[in-house]
Amino acid sequence: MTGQPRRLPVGGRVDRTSPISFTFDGRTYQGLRGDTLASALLANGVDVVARSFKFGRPRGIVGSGAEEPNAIVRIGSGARALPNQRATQVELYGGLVGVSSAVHGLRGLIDAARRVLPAGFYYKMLMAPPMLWRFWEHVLRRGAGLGTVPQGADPDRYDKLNRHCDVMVVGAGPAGLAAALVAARCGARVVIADEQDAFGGSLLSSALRIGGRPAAEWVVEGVRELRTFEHVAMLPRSTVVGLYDHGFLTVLERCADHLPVAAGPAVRERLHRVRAKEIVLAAGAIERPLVFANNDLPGVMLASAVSCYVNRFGVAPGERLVLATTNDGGYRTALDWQRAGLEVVAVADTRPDPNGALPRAAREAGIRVLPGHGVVEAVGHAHVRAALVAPLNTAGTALTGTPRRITCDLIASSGGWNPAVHLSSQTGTRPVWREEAVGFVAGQRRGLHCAGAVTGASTVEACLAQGATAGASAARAAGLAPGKAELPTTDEAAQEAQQALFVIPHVRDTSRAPPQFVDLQLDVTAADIELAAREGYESVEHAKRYTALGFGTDQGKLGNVNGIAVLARALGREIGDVGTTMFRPAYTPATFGAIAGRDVGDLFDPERHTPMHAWHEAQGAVWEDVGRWKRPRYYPEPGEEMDAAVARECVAARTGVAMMDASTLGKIDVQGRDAARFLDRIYAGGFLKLGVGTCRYGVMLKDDGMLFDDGVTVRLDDERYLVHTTTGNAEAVLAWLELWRQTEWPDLDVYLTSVTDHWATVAVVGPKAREVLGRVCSDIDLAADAFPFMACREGHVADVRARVLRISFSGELSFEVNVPAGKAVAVWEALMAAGSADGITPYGTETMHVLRAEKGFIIVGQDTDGSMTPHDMGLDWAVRHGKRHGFVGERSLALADYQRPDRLQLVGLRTVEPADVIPEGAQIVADVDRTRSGRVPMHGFVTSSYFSATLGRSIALAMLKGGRGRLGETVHCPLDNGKVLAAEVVGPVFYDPDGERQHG
Amino acid sequence: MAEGVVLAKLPVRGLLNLRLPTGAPATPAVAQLVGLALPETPCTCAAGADVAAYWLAPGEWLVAVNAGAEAELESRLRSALDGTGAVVDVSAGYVRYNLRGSAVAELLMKACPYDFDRRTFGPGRCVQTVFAKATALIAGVEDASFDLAIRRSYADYFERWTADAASAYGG
Repeated sequence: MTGQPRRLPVGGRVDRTSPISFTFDGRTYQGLRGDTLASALLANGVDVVARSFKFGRPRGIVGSGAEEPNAIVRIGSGARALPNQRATQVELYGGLVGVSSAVHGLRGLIDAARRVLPAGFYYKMLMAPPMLWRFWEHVLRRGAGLGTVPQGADPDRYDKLNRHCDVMVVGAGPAGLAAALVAARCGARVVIADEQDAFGGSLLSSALRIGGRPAAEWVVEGVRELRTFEHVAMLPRSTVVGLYDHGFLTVLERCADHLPVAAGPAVRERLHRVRAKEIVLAAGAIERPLVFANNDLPGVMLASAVSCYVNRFGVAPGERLVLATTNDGGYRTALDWQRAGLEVVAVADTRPDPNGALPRAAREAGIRVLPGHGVVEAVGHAHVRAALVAPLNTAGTALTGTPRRITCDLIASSGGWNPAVHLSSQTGTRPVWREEAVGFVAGQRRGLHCAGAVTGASTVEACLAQGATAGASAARAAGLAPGKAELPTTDEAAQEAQQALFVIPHVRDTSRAPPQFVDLQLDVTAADIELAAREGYESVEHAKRYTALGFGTDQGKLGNVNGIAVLARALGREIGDVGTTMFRPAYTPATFGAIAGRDVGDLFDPERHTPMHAWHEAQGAVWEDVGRWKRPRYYPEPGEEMDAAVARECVAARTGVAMMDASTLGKIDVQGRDAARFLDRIYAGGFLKLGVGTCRYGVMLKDDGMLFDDGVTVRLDDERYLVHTTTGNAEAVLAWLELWRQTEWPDLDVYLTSVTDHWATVAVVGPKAREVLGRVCSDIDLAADAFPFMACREGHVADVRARVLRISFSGELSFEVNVPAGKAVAVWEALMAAGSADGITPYGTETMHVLRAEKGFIIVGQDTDGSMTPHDMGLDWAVRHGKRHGFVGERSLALADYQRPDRLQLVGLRTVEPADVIPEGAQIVADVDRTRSGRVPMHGFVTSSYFSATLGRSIALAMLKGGRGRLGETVHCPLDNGKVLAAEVVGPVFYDPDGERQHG
Repeated sequence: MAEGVVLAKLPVRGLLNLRLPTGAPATPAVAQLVGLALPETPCTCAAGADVAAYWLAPGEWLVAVNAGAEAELESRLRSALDGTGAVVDVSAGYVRYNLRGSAVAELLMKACPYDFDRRTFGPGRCVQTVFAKATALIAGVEDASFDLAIRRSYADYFERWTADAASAYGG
């Protein structure tokens, strides 16, 4: 194993036949297939993988899984780079490029920083004058080493998959596998996910025997059986990152992250959105390190991680081991280490008289056990060179003798296990402190069946039993009949009680001892937490925010419980009383790519198209987004700018003939015996007496009396109406109508159906509109007296059955031709052809806006913002009081505030300089001189503003305080470029005030 | 079965949205006009000669007939309903498709949060649900394929979304 000095000669689930090379921080190394980046780095003797967040201290690999706080790396390069990955979870592949996230740490600040960056530093800086924070933010962001965001668009493909199951099993360790097997045998649809590349969990690095065979064989057997069930989905390399209400989970599957770019499948990562009837939480537990002085030195690791590297990867992260433990389980690491032919210098067990099977086995194997001893300090600069070990009192709270120095290069510590309660905590279920387990376990929650180490179980046999029970109870709760589960036995020895000890005391008190790290990722020490307690941050939530404990990307998987223990000790309270903070999704960082899936680029949101879309596109229309619709804004001729195109289109509509695609307007068919009564209550105006075949403009109010939508309603029949809504409000109006129909007036016989997509609408507009329409419509008498303004007729246009409305949003003679959408293109083209001799001109939304503004017609949502009454908008004529049932919003209109004479009211503005177009949104002030003082009373604002080619000057609509009483007054609009535009207040109708043209 | 996913446009049919007072069973007159008994079980559909009826919501069905037959059926149904119910021609409001192929089930898992497990959703079943960010009426077909009705203005989005998703299967 050239170049892999720490690789053991035999052992591990790695393929020794073909070494693969990778680079880390610019240097090339060799690893093996089956390695993680962390195990490969350790095999190469790379012990410093990061500089710490605040102090820039050297840090090494601590763990072997999701809990890793230090080895946070960026994988890949360029736009494909993936930041914030844990080297312990990155599978090695040939050509992998890893970069430590923290190589740019502020080495100059090492240690000295501790004095200037105490606990609560961020808090204090944020409370200080803002300039100071800006300075520190700049310095800290560079130094913190939180990784860099890749530049450029991500070239990889991500997608999402919705899954449904009876039982979702989270984790495929002994408990999860047992649960999945039992549930699957009952016929349950099962999804089982595990973050590792292979199922088995802790059994992958265990020397245990299950049912008389090696544990790994039991795993293979179980996986093989699961594979035989068609209704079982197995997801390795899949982390359950979120658990939400009603059995909803998100599972991030890494499909290609373990492969070189070229060799990967099409999809890099996939987010499974699982809806499960029942959930088995078998997420396992994370070992809790002991807190002692200088415990962040490279060479201080979790005991379970050391075992994992030896057993699973055939890597020895050192030569001479000192084990610090509070429990029997930790001894396994000493035994694994010795079995691998390495030297165990000593086991420091904090318990005064450890006599369980494992401690006895260790002694029998010749390992030196120091009962009642703790590691009080790690010695070394860039790596562990020795451990200071001292005798402790029975409770472990004080030293009873002088520390002695034991030479070693690896300190493994085990302070017990923290159940992985993160997912259950995400739903708001508070973890519960369990004394005998010395840990917080998941709280009770309906539909959540906990099994294995997550409950505090400490033996594989207990995990298997709990898994089987949970699998059966979950299947039963999902409505299936569970069979009988047979439980395999293990050769695992019984364990003695562990000691509830978290911090090993030092010779000096906490604030003077070398730092005792609690949260390695964010450099939070025991002294920091004690400081927080002294400064009054007694709630665990406050102490967390004051010290930043658990704020890192690891969410404090290693440090939280130790931090709570330090806080409890400082407050003189029990850990269970202090309580724990909660966790939120995601369990480990998830990429935005996976969350977005394929809803990116032009699939981000649906574009709705009218039937004439392709025609508009062929004509070179410039698009405007209106809600989800694409509408032509204008149709430029070659070389033509918007202003010129709009002027040309306006002139055509006012003097010749023009035509617009109005298909996007919302259309609701209202039918039933009580249709008239229903509309009469919904609209502010009267609709009972509307004649069949005629149209009426109506305004709808919200219950607060504010204008909500407007449009024309046609009475098609005694019991049938067609309601038009604004384009952007169609869904909201239908929902509003359904709300009233279903909840307030269920007694009314009325039915609402959206026909927006069924009908396409062509507005033929202009003095020559009648002539042009007449060329393709022979069965409707278009003469003014036969077909008057606001009437509706049915007939054929271009041989297509059509409904024609004489309504006008332009103020011109106008026919709106409605035909089924499937035949709309033919009708549109026929009308274009019929008008070609008269220069018929297609026009877009911009021209529509100008034409309607010339007429003072408002657009709901542009001239209104949900705070305008009909009276404010000068629409009293569209309101009818005294109807038998009133109308929605009527009562609110009587509010005193709605009667104020100085409310904002709709007016028109004529700039003193006709060529000046006031920007929309401009504020209106009365006294121009006071603009220089910087404190100006606002009198209103401009809502619509255009240059009118027809009038040869600019026009604007505005909301002005007491506006209708101020006609003739001059107001001013100060602009952000320093100019002030003066304008005269006029009525909102600029063109054809008597409406002669639309009636023509 | 075709490899991957195959999307095909279906011929135009006459589509009527039919409403009856909630809870009231369809009268024999309505059933006779439609040509079959309206399915009363939620999310099911029924087919007869030249006609199909899809349950959409309590008291709401989509009736599909041969193109051109909808106008007469609409007016006859409206007379029969006599104001206690409604019938609306929505033929042009939808574009109809058929989705088939070996990967069609997985494609639906990508697009829809609804459970199309073939043990429970097959011929005779239909559902109104979301397809990506559009709405869809999806019905099971005898040959393990699916018929979809998509609102016309969303058809272009639907086709592009489906083509993109299907490209992962080489379809």
